[in-house]
Amino acid sequence: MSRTVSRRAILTGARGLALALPFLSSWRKESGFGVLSPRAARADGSGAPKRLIFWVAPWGTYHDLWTPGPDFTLNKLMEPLAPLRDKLTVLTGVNCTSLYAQNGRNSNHDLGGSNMLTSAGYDITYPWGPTAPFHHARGPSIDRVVADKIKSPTKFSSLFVGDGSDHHHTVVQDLAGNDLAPVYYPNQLFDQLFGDYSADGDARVRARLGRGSVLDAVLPSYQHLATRVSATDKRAVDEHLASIRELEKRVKNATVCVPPAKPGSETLYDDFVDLMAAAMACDLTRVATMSMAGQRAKMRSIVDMDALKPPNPDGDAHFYSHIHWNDPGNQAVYREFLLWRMRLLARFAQKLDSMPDVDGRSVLDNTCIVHTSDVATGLHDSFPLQEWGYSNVMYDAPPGSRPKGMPFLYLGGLGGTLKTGKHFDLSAGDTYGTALGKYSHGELYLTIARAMGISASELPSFGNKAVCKQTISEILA
Amino acid sequence: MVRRAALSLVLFTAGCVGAIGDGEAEPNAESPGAPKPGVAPSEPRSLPLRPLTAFELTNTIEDLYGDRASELSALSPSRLRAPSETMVSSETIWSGARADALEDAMYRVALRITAKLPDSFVETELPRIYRRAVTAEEIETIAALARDLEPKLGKGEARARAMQAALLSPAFLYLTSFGEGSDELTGGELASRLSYLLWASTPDPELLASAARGDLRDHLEREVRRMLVDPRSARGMARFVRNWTGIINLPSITRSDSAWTRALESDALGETDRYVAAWFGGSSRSFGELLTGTTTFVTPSLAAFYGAPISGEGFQAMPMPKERVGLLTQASFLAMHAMESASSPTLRGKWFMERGLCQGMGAPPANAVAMAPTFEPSMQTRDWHEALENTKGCAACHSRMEPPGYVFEGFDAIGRARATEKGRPVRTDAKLATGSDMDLSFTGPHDFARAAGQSAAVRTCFSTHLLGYAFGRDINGDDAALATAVSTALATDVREAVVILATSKAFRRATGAKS
Repeated sequence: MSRTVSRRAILTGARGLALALPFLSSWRKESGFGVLSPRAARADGSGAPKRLIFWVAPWGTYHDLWTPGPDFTLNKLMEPLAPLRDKLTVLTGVNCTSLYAQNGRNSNHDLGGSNMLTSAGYDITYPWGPTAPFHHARGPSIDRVVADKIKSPTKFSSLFVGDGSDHHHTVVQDLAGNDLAPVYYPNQLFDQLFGDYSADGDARVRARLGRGSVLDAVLPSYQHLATRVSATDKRAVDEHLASIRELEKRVKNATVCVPPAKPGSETLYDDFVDLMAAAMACDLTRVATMSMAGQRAKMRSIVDMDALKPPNPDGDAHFYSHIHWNDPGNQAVYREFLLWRMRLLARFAQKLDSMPDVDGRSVLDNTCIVHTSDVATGLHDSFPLQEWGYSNVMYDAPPGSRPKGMPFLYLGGLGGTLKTGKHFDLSAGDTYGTALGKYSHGELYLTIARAMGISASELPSFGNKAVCKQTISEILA
Repeated sequence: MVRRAALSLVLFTAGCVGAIGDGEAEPNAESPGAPKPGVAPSEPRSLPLRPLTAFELTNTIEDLYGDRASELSALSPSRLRAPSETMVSSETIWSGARADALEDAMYRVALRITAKLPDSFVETELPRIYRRAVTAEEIETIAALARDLEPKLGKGEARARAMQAALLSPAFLYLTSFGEGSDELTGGELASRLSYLLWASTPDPELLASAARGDLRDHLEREVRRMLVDPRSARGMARFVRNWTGIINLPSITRSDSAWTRALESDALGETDRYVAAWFGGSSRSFGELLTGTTTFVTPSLAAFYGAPISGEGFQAMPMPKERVGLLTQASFLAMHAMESASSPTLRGKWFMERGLCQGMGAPPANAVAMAPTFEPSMQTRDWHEALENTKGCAACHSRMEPPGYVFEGFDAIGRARATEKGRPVRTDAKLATGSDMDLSFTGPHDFARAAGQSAAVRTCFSTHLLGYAFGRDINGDDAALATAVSTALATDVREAVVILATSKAFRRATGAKS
């Protein structure tokens, strides 16, 4: 059999022959011109990844500083987002009553936490005795469900980071409904994201600048050449030109992956934001939940000391969200804190917006950052307590005050599939948007999942089916 | 064993239906060498735009800056080992998918060469890189890059990027033939065409100066003769011969014999390059001498392979072993034209028909496998090929193709000499029936090489290939007179042939494009 000539041998021999002496034909014939790699061809299309990020900022907001005015005039708390107004959508009146429907007594942080991203209801156990109920989500959170469906080829299918909150339940549950803890420290997050990442980020930025400039400088000479050559030569030059254009697009649109410097052990919220922006730039994950309470932020560094002095200079943000609801001093402190949190969100969104994606849009354009909370306000008045026969004496709710909607907004339109630059009042006319609007938060997530490209057959409903029957057609582009 | 025969036929049989004496034959992709006499050109016979090859780029950068630019030779598709659907010339670096590889390679080259250049290198270097006088605008394009990038990237990187842009410019990567409103190449274009033909590299300062003065055309023959006595001219001719013999593709083939190593392959290519250089630079420069030379250049391992061990290191001149003669019995040629584990009278004969006589053989018919004779274990390679010659449906082509291959049966699949096969002496006698002046009887490679060296048909075919190499386009009836003149000169002196070619009107024919 050793003399048997294999088919492979034949082919090898045949190739050698076929390749021999091609120079007599004009060079174009053999040059492989016009054979762009599949990879190059894809870069031209709509192959940019979509990313979904939940930004959970607990303890609610001040609606009179939150809700946009006519013509989408941004309110005080959204001023940090003004540069991104066209990419911002505010949703008023998303119905979150299912968060609390099982519990007639209160709309506390635990319930909001365990239900906000699951929309699935909860079970209560008493691991610490009868006075300390603990709420277990009955299903997975939407971020994990989306990550499971899109199966992105990234290092992490999803990430959960942030400070969590000592006062609210964890907001992320795995596919079995188990509570998950966030990556709590920025330096730990850094190790997870970039611990095995050795590339010189600075060199990459410099290379992109240099390569882009070189290709910019070279391109016109090929364009000029194409105008001068014969028709047959022009085809070849055009193809070369196309390959340079393609390369230029790849160089310039490539998301430059630049790991930031490793943060110190101290929790700095900027570090969380920068690390997560870098994780997106490096395409380490396409789904994340960022729990951005800010409870470990030093109030003294956020709020003017004089404003802090009278009420409680050592109080944390959660404290200020609740007490002395009608006290102007406290309101001023909490307003400053909320503004600081919104600036943090703006910092994150602007970082994503500054990154060009492979399709020429910004990374933010192909992302959806959903902002929500665990309660609507510090009064926990996310559902109509008083109308249902309860009063909320604990937090000085003014008599006759109306319930408020959960502070939902999103930034980025998932590659043009979600409408942006708008305020949608889904509450049918209520000033601040009641909690009894037409669409549930489960339906909002289902809508976003559709915009992420997850079909109805893959995900017919989400969470509690009784409150998830439709998608929000108003926000779909 | 039957399978070998059956499969072999797919390759061995090269259908030549209608190829001979049939002026209307379809051009065949398998035989780009076939000239098409009498076919009228469909457009002006100007030289096409041509990109430099990886080999030429490497030489250019080495000649300009003394840098070996190994990144560029690594771009050569000839290093591809995997079967490829695409027919890629190992001489061509271009394709869309390679743009980024070239870009990256040029940056690394640029980093090294700019490190040694003075601060204001653009004005002095750009004319050398573009091989012609440059405009203020062209200088500014490159200088602005260095200037604008310096604050952000630092001086070193900024300068390298500027140099990279110059090295990626079409002015560097392409040979143009615009003529600037005339149907003759401009002085700069002609200088480049000459240097890449004769030296496979960039023009030297003297040639550039002549082009800049505008007197290159006036002193064209003098310049060509000056360039031909320069040692660089051996490089250009050796490259052409690598193409003509097909050994340019040696790195893309595999041979099952473990004696055939990449190192030996490299030595074999080096041998042929040196052999051609010695011929072209020597005192006996007839075409016949190329095919019948008796001195070659071998490394100790190649000498051992030839059965004539030498000591020392590197290449050394050596009288050819008695069973070998000239170009076509070197290991490079014989190993190239063979099967993976067997010699191939078909492949060697097909090379001669197509590249030696410019007679296209075409592809085997679709039912070739069914017609193949059975290969018996006792058969010598030649036995089976003779059976093929006598098989109905195969005979028409193989009876013409096989005989020139038989004269090399004294060499196995890797070009090692053998006196016997299957315990019997190999037979190297052959009688050709090609319809040319090569239709003689031969006893083996020696009288075959002598006859081929004297054959007007072979010499003219070689000339035709040389024209195609020089022009970068197909050769047809319009080029017949020039091919004849070159062929006539080749009978006595290849350098004179090159002078005729390089000073011909056809070699200066431009498109006449306006700038």
